[in-house]
Amino acid sequence: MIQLLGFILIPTIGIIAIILSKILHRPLSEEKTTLAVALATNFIFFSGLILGFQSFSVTIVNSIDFSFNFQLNALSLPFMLLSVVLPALALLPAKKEITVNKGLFYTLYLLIYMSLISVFMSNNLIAFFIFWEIILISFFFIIAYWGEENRKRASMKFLIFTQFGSFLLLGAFIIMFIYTGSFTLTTIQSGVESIPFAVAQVAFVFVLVAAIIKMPLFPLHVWLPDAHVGAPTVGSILLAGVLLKMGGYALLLFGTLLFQNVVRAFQPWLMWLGIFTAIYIVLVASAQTDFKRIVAYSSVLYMSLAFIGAVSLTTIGTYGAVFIMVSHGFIAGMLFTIAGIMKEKTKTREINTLGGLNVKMPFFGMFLMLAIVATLGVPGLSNFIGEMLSVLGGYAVYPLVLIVLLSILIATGYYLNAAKRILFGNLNKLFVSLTDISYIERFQLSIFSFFIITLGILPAIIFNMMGNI
Amino acid sequence: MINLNTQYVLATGILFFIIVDLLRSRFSTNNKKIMHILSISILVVSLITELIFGNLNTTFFSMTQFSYFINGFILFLAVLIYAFMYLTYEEYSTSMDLLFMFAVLGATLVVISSNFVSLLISIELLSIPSYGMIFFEKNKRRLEGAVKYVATSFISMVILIFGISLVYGGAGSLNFSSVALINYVPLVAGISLVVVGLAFKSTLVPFHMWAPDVYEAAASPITSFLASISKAAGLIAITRVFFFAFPLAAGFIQPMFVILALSTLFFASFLAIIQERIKRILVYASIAQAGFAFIGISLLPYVGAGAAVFYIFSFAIADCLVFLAYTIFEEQGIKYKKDIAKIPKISRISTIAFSLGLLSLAGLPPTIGFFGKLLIFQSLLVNGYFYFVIAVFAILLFSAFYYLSLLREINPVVAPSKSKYKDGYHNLRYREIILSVLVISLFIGVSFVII
Repeated sequence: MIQLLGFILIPTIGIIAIILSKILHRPLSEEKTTLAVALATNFIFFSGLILGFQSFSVTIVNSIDFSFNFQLNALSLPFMLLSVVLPALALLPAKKEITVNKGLFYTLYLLIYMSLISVFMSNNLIAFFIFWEIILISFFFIIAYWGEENRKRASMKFLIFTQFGSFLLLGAFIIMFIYTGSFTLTTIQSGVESIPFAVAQVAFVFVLVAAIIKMPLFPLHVWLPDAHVGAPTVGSILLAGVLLKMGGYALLLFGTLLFQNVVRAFQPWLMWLGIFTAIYIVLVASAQTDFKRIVAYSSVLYMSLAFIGAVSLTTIGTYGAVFIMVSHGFIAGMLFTIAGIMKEKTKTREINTLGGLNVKMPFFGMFLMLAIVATLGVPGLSNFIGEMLSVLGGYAVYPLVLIVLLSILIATGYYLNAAKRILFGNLNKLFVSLTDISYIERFQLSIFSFFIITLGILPAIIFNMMGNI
Repeated sequence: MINLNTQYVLATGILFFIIVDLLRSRFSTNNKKIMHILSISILVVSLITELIFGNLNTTFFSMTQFSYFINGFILFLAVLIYAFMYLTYEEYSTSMDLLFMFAVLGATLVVISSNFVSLLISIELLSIPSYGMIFFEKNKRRLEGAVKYVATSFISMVILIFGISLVYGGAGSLNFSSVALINYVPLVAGISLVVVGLAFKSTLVPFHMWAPDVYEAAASPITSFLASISKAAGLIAITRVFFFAFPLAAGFIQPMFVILALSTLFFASFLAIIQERIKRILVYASIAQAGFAFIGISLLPYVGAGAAVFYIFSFAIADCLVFLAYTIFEEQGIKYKKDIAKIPKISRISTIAFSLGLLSLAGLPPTIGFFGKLLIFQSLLVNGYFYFVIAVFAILLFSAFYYLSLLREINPVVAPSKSKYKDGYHNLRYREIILSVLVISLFIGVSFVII
C-alpha cells in the first residue's frame, strides 16, 4: 500500500532542499531536484495504482472541522494521473525558458505540483480550498514574474477572475457546512438531503459560476487567452493541462454529483450553455492567427464538451466528461509544448508568416500532425472516446445536443488550416537554416503521444480507475 | 500568588523603571541601552505572568472567556514591536519606554474593563502615551501627526463621555452587567454616541479621516503599534460593550453597524487603489481590515464573539508584520509604489515576510487571514445574508487587486546587496528574526480558532 501523504512529503522535501541550498550557498541544480521529485512522485503513483493507496488523516482544528484528510473518491485517480504526469513533462520547456531566479520559480513549481495532486485527493473541503488557492497564487506569480508580453495585465486578469470563482466556491462550501455540520466530503455526501432545495440552488449556482470561470465557459472565459499568451510555455501546459481540469473536477464533485435534483431542474439551460460556448468559441478561434491563441481558445471547446457530459447526469456522460478532460490534458500539453518549440525556433507564432516547416523539421511536423489529429477526435486516439461519450450522454437526455458536433467540424477546419500554413507550402527564406527538434524533445513529445495513443486504444484504463458514479 | 496578574506586574515594572531611571540620572551615566533592555524584560515578564496567572479580576475589571487570549497576543505583539523599535533606532529617550509601557498597560486594561468608567480611563491610558509616541523625533511631520491625533482623540473622547452619560441617565448604572438588564429606548442615542466614540479609535469610515495622516506621520514601528495593538484594543472594546452591556440593544442597532462596516470596506478599498505611497496603501488596508472585523461585531448577538475576536487577532498580526517589514524598506528610501521593485535588494526575508503579510490581509490561505474571513463568512451565511456575502466578495476582489498589484511589481530577480548594511548587518538579521517569528505565527495562529 502507498501512503497518500507521500504526495505531499516528496515535493515538500524538494522545496526544503531548494531553500536550504539557497541559504547555505550550496550549489544544487534546481532543475535536477525538481526532476528527481517528479520522478519519485511518478514512481509512487504508478506503484500505487498496482498496490493500492492508503488514506491519511490528521485533524488541525476541531471546531471548524479543519483536517488534512486524504482519501480517494470516485473521480480522484484519472485527475491525479494528469497532475502527476503533466508537470513532470513540462519541466523540459521550463529548463529552456526559466533562466533567472530559478530558486523562486522551482519553489513555486513544486508548490503547484504538490497542491495539484492534493486538490484531487483532499477529502476535507478547507484543505481542498487551501491547496486550490496555493495553486492560484503561485500561478499568478509565475505569470507576473516569468511571463511573456503583457504579463502584468494578464496575471492580474487571471487573478481577479479566478479569485472571484474561488470565493464563490468557498461560499458553497460554507453553505454545505452550515447544513451538514461538516467540511468532510464523505459526510456531506451522506447528509446532502438535509439541505433545503432553495439553499441547494444557491450552493449549486455558486459552484456553477466558479466552474464557469475556471473551466472556462462562455461569458467568463475572457481571462483565458490573455493568461495563455502571457504565461511562459510551462505555465500554459500547466494551465491548459491541469488547472482548467480543476474546474471540471469541482463541478462534477460538488455540483452535478451532489445536487442532482437542482441540475435536473436546470438541465436544458445548462445544455444550451455548453452548446453555445462550443459554437461561439470555435468561431472566435477560427479568426485567430496566433497558434497559441488557437490552442487556448480550442481548450474552451473541449471543456464545454466535458460540461455537456457532466450535466447530462448519465453514467456514460460523466465517464465521457472525465475522459475528455484527461485526454485533452495530454493533447493540450503537447500542443503548447509544440507552440513553445515553434516560438523558440522561428521567433514567431503567427501562422501566416510561417510555412513549409515540414521540409526542415520532419519530426516536428509529425508530432504536430499527431496532436492536431488527436485533438480533432480521430478514432484510435484519445479525444475520440471522450467526445463520443460526452455527446452520447448529452443526447440521451437532450437530443438537440447533437448541434455541438458542428463545432467540432469548424474546429477541424481551422486546425487543418493552421497545420497547412505551418507545415506545408513554400518555405520562408528566414527559416532555411532551421534544424529539427532535439532528441530530448522528441522523447518528451513521444511520452505525450504514448499517453494519447494508449488511452485511445485502451480507454478502459481510465474507466477502471474511476469508482462507481 | 493570585495577585501576580499581568497588569500588576506591568504597573510595578513601570514604577521600578521610573526609579531606576531617576537613579541613573543621579549617577549621571548616559547608558540608555540598559534602560531599553530593562523595558523589554518588563514586557516579557508581564507576557509570561499573563500566560501563567492570567488577568486582573476586580469590580471594575473582569475577565471574559476571551481576555486571556486577547491580552496574550497584545503583549506578544508589544514585545516584538518594542524589540524591533529598539533595534531600529537604538538612540532614543527613556521617556519613550515609559510611554510604550503605559500604552500597553492601557491596552490590556481596555480588554478586561467591565465598567464604562474603567473603559474610558483605560482608553485614555492607551491614547495619551500614543500622542507622545507619535511625536517621537523632533520634526514637523511628526508634530503635525501628533497634533492631529490629539485633536481627533479629544473629540472622540468627548463624544464617548457624552454617550456614556446618556447611557447612565437611561440605565442608572455604569456597570456592563447592570446595563445589560435594561431595555430602554432613549438608550439608543447614548449607544450610538458610544459607538461613534469608539469608532474613532478603531478607524471606521466616516471617522477614519485622521488615520492616514497620523499613521503616515508616525515612525513606522509606532504605526505598527497603532494599527495593531491600539486598533485591536478599540475593536475589542466595541465587542465587549456590545456583547456584555447592550445585548438587547445590539439587535436594533445592527443596521447602523452593517452600514458602517460596508462603507468602511468600500471606501478604504477604493481609496487604497489610488494611493501612490506604499505606507498610505498599507494604512487604507488596515482601515479596511477594521471594516471586516466590524462585520463580525455586527453579528455578535447571533454567532458569539469568537469570529470577531479571531478576526481581530488575525489582522493585528498581519498589520504589525507589514508595517514592521516596511520599516526596513523605508530606511533605504523606498516610499513610492514604483520603487517597490527594489525591495528584494534590501532584504529577502523581509520581502517574503511583507508579501506573506499582504497575502494574509487579502485573506488568502493558508494564512490566518483566510481563517478569519472564513469565520466571518460563516457567520454571515448562517444568518442568511446571501447578498451581503456577494458584496463582501466583490470588496475582497478589490482588496486582492491592490495587494497583489503591489506584489507583482516586486522584481525578484535582483540580487541582495549587503554593502549598504555594513554596520547594521547583524541588526538587520535580528530584525529579520522578529519578522520570521511573526510569519510563523501567521501560520500556526490557526490553532487558536475559538467558536
